[in-house]
Amino acid sequence: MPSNEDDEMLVAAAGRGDERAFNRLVQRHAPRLHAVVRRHVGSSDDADEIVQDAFWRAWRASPRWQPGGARFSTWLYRVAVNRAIDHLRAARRRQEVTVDEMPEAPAASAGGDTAADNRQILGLMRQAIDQLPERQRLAVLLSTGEEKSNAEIALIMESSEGAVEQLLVRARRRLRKTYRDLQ
Amino acid sequence: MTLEDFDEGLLKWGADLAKWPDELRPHAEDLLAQSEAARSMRQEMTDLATILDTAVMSDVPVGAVSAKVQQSIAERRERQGLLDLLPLKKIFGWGSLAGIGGGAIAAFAPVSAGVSAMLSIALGGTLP
Repeated sequence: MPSNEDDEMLVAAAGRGDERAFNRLVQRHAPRLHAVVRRHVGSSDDADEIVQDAFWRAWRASPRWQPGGARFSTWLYRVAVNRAIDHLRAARRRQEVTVDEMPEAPAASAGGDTAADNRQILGLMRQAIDQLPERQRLAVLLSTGEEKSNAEIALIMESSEGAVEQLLVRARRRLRKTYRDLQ
Repeated sequence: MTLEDFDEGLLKWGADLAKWPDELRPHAEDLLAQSEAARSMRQEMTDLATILDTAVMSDVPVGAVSAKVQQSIAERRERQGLLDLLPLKKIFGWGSLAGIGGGAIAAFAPVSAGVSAMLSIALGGTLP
């Protein structure tokens, strides 16, 4: 897990025009941010755009970055998550997506092929994440990788820590049931 | 702490007790020391966290994602650099430039003042 101090040093260097420092921030944060946004909005192309915009805003804001405030990653995720939420709202206005339209879960494998079974379990767990209500999905996606505390997730989601805890309880309970059913 | 309380805590804060509130952590540790069921519940939550992380991250082309972002930022920097070379921006700033653009349109083009104002806003709003 990258330390906050490292990020702050890199942002400060980026603010002085150091492109290599900024590229290190990209390498450090872009993959997981992309994964979270992609799972949340359901499209890799849209996630590309949202993540690129978030980093562009970070680059432009870096000369004005105030050390000692919010963590850089919290700020970055908040920017991207807000864009992702707006994106979903706009998509919903264009086309109402209902649970009935979601793809059927693939049938369980007959067994014997461990790699195929693992892929299938991952696919079913992804589908279970996709089918969570939006805010539960976002909370659980932000909690993966154990990098963010519930307090940070609350900052990113512009919510209270208690509300995030309740979202996580409901989401994890549902995902645990899916996981148990797969055993 | 009961097993139900412990389960609720696992769902709220996860299997890593370091993320639990300070006042509850010792009770959770005591329960784990005494109860096989609690240890089993915690192991299940650890396994669930691992599989969720794998499900989210395993199909991400890590190198390609970073490269795309870096390329996008480089291109935007280049565009920004070209825009910064425009002398009017240096002298007046974009707000003034947008105003001049809108004013010029109002003065020399057959458009209404309302359209001119909208164009000024649009110019000011899109240029960095």
